[in-house]
Amino acid sequence: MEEISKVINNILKDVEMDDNAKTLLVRNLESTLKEKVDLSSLKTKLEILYNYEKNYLELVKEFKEEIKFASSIQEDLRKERAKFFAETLKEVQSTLKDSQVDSAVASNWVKELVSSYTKSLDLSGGLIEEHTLDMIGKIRQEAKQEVKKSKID
Amino acid sequence: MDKNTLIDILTILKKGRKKLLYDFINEKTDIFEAMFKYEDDEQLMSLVIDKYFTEYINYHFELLKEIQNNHNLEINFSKVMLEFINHFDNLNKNSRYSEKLYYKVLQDKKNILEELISIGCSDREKFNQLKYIYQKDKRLFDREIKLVGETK
Repeated sequence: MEEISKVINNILKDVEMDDNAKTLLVRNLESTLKEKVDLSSLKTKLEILYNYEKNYLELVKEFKEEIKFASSIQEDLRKERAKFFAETLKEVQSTLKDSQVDSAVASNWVKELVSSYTKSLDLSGGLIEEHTLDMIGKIRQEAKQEVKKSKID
Repeated sequence: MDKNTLIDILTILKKGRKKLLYDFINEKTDIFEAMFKYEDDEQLMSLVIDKYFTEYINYHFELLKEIQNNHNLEINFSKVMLEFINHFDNLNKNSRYSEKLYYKVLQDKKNILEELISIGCSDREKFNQLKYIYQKDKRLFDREIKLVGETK
């Protein structure tokens, strides 16, 4: 704002008028201009934010099916992992026990089974995560491009 | 990786897991018979375990055959399977009963997969090699189990 008062003072420097009146005029002009500049800057910022949010929502709408898909496969995997440890593994152990398999032998087999099963789940989880991150990257990229476009417009 | 490739690979892995559970819960004869037959012989039991989990790995290649393959699927599938086999390989190295045969069987598959990935294309002949290995592995393990059994 110091700049504005300097500019006004420069403009008025050759104008002959009472010093008090000049100071009052400078203050009034300064205050009015400041208000206008602040409002204009706020409006611009709000417009950018609005466009960003609008474009983001449109992008989310555009990627809705993809987001639903990623979320559903993640959920399926989470459920499968939980079920394996909470139910299925117990069922396997109970089958081995009922069949009277030696406990040390059963334990070796179960150890390998758990290791193989969880590795397969981990690999699936890794692929899903990679896919989800790719999708988020795409949404972000498109959002950035939309903002750039709206700034230019 | 495109969505269809992701779905295909996730389906293969899931079917593999289903098979594991099915075999255990339904008392698959091969496994349960071996559990009793070799319960006093850690070396033979270890061989039988290795044989079963080799078959489990190979089952994924069998499942791939059921899908309409494309280059993208084969390359991505190769990468996933290489990581999978590395897991078994690391387990095997840390195992007390590490078997040379199991190591070799895994290594053979790793070599083919690494080659496929490095050349960046799906080679029909190499994939066929992976598929025929299924029967070969089974036979090699059976021979080894017989040999070890006879020398006891």
